[in-house]
Amino acid sequence: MNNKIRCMIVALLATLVLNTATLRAQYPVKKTIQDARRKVVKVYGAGGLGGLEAYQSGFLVSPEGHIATAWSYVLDVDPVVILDDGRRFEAEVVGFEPQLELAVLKIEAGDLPYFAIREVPPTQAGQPVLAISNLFNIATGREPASVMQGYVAGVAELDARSGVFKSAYQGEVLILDLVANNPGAAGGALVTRAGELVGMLGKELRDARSGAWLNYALPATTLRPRLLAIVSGEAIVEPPKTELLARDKSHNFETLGLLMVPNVLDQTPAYVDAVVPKSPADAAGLRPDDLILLVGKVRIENQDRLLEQLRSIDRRDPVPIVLQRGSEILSLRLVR
Amino acid sequence: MRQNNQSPRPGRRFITPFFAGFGLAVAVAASLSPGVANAQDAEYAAIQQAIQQTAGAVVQIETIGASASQGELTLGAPISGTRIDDQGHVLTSLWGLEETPASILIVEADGSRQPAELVARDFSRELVLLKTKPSGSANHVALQRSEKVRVGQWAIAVGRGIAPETPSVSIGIVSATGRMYGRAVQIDARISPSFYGGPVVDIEGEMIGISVPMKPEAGSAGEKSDWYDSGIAFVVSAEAIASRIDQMKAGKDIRAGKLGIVPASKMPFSDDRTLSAVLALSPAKRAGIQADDELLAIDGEAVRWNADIKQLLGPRDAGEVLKIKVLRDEKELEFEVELAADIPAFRPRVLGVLADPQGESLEITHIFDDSAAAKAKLQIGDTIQAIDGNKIDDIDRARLLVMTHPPGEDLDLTVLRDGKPLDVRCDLQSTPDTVVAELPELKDPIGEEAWEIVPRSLPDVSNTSRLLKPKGDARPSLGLLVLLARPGTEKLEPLAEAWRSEAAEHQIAVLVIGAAETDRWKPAESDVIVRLIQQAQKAINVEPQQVVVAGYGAGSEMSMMVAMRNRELIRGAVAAAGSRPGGFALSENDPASPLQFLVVGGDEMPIWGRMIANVGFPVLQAPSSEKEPLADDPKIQDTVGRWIRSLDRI
Repeated sequence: MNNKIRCMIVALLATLVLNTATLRAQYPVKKTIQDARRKVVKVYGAGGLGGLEAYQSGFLVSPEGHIATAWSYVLDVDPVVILDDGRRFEAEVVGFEPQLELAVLKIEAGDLPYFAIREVPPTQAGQPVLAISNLFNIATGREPASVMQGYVAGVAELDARSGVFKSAYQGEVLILDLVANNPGAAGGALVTRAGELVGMLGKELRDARSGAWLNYALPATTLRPRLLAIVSGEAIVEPPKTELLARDKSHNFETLGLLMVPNVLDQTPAYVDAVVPKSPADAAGLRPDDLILLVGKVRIENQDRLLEQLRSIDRRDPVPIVLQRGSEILSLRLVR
Repeated sequence: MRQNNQSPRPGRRFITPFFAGFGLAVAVAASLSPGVANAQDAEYAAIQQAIQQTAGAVVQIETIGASASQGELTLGAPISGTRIDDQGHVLTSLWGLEETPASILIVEADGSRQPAELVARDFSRELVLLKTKPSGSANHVALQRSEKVRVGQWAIAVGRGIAPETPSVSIGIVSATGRMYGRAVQIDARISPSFYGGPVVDIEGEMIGISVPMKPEAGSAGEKSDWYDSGIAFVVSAEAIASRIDQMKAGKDIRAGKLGIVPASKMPFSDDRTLSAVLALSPAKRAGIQADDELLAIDGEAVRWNADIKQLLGPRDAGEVLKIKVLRDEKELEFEVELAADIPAFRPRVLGVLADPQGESLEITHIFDDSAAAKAKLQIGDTIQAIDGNKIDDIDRARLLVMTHPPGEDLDLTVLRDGKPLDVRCDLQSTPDTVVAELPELKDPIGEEAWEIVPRSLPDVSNTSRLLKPKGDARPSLGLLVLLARPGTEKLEPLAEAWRSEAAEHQIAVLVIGAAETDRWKPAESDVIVRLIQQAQKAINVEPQQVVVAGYGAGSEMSMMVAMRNRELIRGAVAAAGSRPGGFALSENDPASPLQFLVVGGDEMPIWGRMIANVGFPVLQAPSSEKEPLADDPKIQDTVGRWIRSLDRI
């Protein structure tokens, strides 16, 4: 290649690089970040002992100072809120939604920048997002919160009943592919590159099955009706709690006529050892050596989990079971 | 921003790589036009496209009846799997499938389950091949790539471990190729265990490979999942899989190929390519490779540094035949070697002599009773000059040649006695299972009163420690006993004080370390302990062969884990017979960094003691009373002291 052409190519490449660089400068994300950071606040409250951090994050949801944040021990005392410009306010808790682990604080201020609580299209895997929070309390005083970028990894059910996540919240969450849930991040905002609020960062949570730390946010679509209700001053109703039924009201191995293999391991698979003749299990066609995989939609990892699930079903109701027999998967209903 | 509201529909492969490339071209063009938002849209669309193309081939893998802990994580949670053909073959990660569970299930996007059988495992690359009924659908990934993986290109990991009905993704770039000794591509996407076994594709939807957790060496200590979600993740390349898939489909397990050589240098970038030992019963031994050979090339690839050896052997499987070129007596020789899956466990052999590690020559300073050396009538004052014809003037080399000497073969020594060379033939022994009773007098003993206890700490952790060491600036050579306190111990001083007379008796510094929490030692504190040991090594002159860890209560289990995971630093661990060690992968004793155990308390050898003895670790036992043996049993303390001093014997 002669030198002249080489120079031209280098020059052309340089222009391309310069072009992209100048374009980068006008990247709308920059404005998104500027605006969104002004709406994220730092919340300080109880804690500070035994490894519990006394801080978390929140974001403004009304111009007159309503702040959405995570419901946690930090709010056991009246919290202090610090805005991105360093202004400090005593805040009071004006509402909470235990089921969503959502709390709303109120500070006495006006004309504040805020995230409008409006309908957003459903978020899906691969959506680029920005997570804005005061993780690790890095931002102090007048410093705005920290911004991280990543993608929505997926949408999944947090179902405490299936024992997957030990969390009060049950429902859909956005799983994130960035390490967003660190101490202090709970209550932070998750926004699109266009600045649309799509979620609130959750508390630190481990996946109860694998023990892996989870990075997730509560979707704005779930928070929206409750936030609107609290901001407009509606009363809060405690949700009913699902619990095990009384022993004489619920199912167990005897009511169904199941004899299981001895439960000797801490993870004994739910193998059927024998079936009592003329019992519901017999009538449904269960056989020795069947491996019970699911009760309803709940995965049965071991015999203890099976008993726990049966204990939450009323004796008068049928028990839907999915099992493995050799290389077949069968669905059966056990009816008393 | 334009929203793409169509959720990925599994099973639609309506886009060819050619079009995906076209899409990327559009993205690039768009990024150079003033409509910058379009560039983001194009990028987003391309990512969505790649996900849609791949998601249909991704399934969830459920296991029933497999549960064990791996460091902080528990096995048995669902992971991901990747269909690779329409005959029902699914690749997944070995994570949780090292043992065969009661049942393996493949969960489809519609929630339906089918049982899968395990066809074969690749233990080197952490992969498992499963087979289930042919799906009938054309949903599978192709293991071929149109071009090589490049650092910096998009890497999109797809999984179904979180929920079977919707694919999950994690997006990053390729960070490096040829990682983990040539076995993996590294990406910076955050990969948590739910992604293991799922595919990683580029922005055109072409396979980069399969996500797996990986450690530098199969079977080495430490947890392979330690790096989950850290921005360091590993992918077995589609190419490496494609070249082995027929073997796996035929039901043949794949294991890392072992050669059985011990390089002389421990420094990765040393240009010393000499072999200091060749393991008994190893492929290298059988082929005729010898200690002192200089390794020039492996299968035609030049070995320039020590690090090249692992890099070149890392991706090789057992059963592969390699050409090894060495330099011996200034002649180049080439050997053909078939790599083995296993080399019989290395069990250290001993001659039974001590020599001054700092000495000019290898002069024997002590001969243990009943040892091979005593039987061969070696004498104190003899100077070792050659072992099996190899000239020796370095104690570590001598120890290694003796340690790795084949069982059942005599060792030929040349010693200098009264100025004359003398050939002596010795019948070596295995490491004795009792601690030596007699030791030579110390040259310059330091009295008890001349030892002091000083606090030590690290700036960024809450663990505190105390070091019992000789006063003053003289730097005598010392052993080092690291004692891990029972969690919740408030004062460390008395623990160090209790060892004062023993420390003076055997010249052993004692480092007592407290746990960060009051109720347990956390596996992660292993690094803190290592750093405190390294800090102590800077302050005092520690004999590298005499670094031993021990502990009280939960500290006992911790000490075994720390020893197993940090063998380049630690030579011995003392464990209470009643402890229940865990938290480490049981891998074989390694002659390059050999480790021994001393079990104290109880009269019976615990089951785990027999287990670690089986893989080649010498396990000695010192029976003792019901008391806390390391705290208030002077007899045991003396045994520990003598054991530490005997660790640098040849």
